Amino acid sequence: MPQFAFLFHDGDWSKLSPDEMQAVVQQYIAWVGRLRDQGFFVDGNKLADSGRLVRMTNGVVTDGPYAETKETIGGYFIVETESIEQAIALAKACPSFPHGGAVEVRPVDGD
Amino acid sequence: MLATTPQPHNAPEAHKLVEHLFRTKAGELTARLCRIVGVGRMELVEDVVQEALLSALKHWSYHGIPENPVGWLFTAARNRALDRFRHEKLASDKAKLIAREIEAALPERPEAGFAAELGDSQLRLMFALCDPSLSPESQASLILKTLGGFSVPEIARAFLAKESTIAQRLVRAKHTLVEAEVSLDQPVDLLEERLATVLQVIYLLFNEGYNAYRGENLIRYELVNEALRFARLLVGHPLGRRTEAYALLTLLALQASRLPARVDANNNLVLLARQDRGKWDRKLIAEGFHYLQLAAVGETVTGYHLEAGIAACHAMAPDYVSTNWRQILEYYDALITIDNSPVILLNRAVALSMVDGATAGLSALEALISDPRLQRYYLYHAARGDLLVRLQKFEPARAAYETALTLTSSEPERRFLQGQILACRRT
Repeated sequence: MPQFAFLFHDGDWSKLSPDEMQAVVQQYIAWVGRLRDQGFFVDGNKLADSGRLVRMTNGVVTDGPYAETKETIGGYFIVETESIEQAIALAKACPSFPHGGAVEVRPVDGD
Repeated sequence: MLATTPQPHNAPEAHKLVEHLFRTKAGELTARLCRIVGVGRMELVEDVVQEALLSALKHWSYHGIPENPVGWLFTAARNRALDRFRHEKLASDKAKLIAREIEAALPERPEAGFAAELGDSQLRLMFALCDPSLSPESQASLILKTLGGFSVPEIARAFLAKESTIAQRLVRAKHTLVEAEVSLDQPVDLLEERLATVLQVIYLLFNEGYNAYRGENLIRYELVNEALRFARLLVGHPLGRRTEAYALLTLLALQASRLPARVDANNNLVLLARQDRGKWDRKLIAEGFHYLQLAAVGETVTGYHLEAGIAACHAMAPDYVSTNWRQILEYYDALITIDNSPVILLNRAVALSMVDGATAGLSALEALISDPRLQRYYLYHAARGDLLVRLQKFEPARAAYETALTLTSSEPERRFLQGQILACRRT
């Protein structure tokens, strides 16, 4: 069974009210619960908000484009589905879309 | 596929969070941190609390709800606040001192006694925000923002104001508080002086929620519930153990108990006379009567006492007609000596009509017609229409309802009035 990575490009949550934030948390938990119950979910992790971008070409280590910027990858899931179409269909239920988020669906190259 | 899927170690838990957990904890954290760092740093406190919630959103989405969500939020806020003060420019001695205080004051797991201290901080913030330098609207908006955990758009919706208006109001109010050097640790006698203002703001919040004058929803439950929460917080504290506070909580609980019957399934207004009393919230009624007993101790009689007494008459009555209207009329007569506002005079006329008949009620009502405030008040004309219907004067009744219709833009109320107009035409 092929595996796919969902790379989450975070939306802008900063303008949400506490009630709205709580609603997003509940939606995420419900979504992950469904993915798990249906047997698609393999693993998932949040990435820390900080990091380093290491470029070996000039040997300079810079702060990554992570902190305080939009469109950073906030975390990832690994799912197991029949096809990329099925993975995309699952990704469409991600709760971050109304808040400007995006999901990058990448096949895990197992060959 | 099901059988072969490995279970990740970080399985998010299926259970749900307590309703409004983020919102109430935002209020508690804001109050607690403001107590330590001062009202003057409220902007910083609000940032820190927002960041802590944001961090919870991100972590919990991946890792599930932690075992102790409240402790998690408090620790997240504490660490962020510490970070701010430790890295404050030049890290002054004062900033270091504040950092140490924060470290000591926000435990990872709130211990016994901490809940009482939290309540104390919230009340102190509420009293501080009722500073006389602020208008009642500013006081109410600030309380909703800081203690209620409402966002600017949510406050704007609650008060049917523009977001920009609310945002400006909040900014100005915070500047005023900074300039007035408001402190949360004020002497108790000063706080006592301010109790009347605090009660008034809670009453205002409740009324905004209880009867929306515009818009699609007749009742804004979030405001009703916040007002009840604040009133309960108040009477749970030595500062609030006063008969007028008990009377206010009685009034709010008894009024709120009728809300489930006040609108029907189609969001239409149901008048008291026609409400299904089986739908009234028995728990809130019991709470109301509990505090009514406490409110009755001593000599003090405030407007809240009298309004609570009227609400209690309704709560006790098996139906509309057999309500103790004579007692209600007495309460209105007493209320007029405290506050002879035209709305109270209007309600008194309705009570009078139930004691001495529709003709007497109508005369009392028509004696008020010269008041321009009542001329513009749709309930005046609606009440007049009702009395005319009872006297079987359907044509003038219809005209009164038509006038009322031009004066309200609340959709459920408009539908109600249109129904009355149709009924008058048919008869």
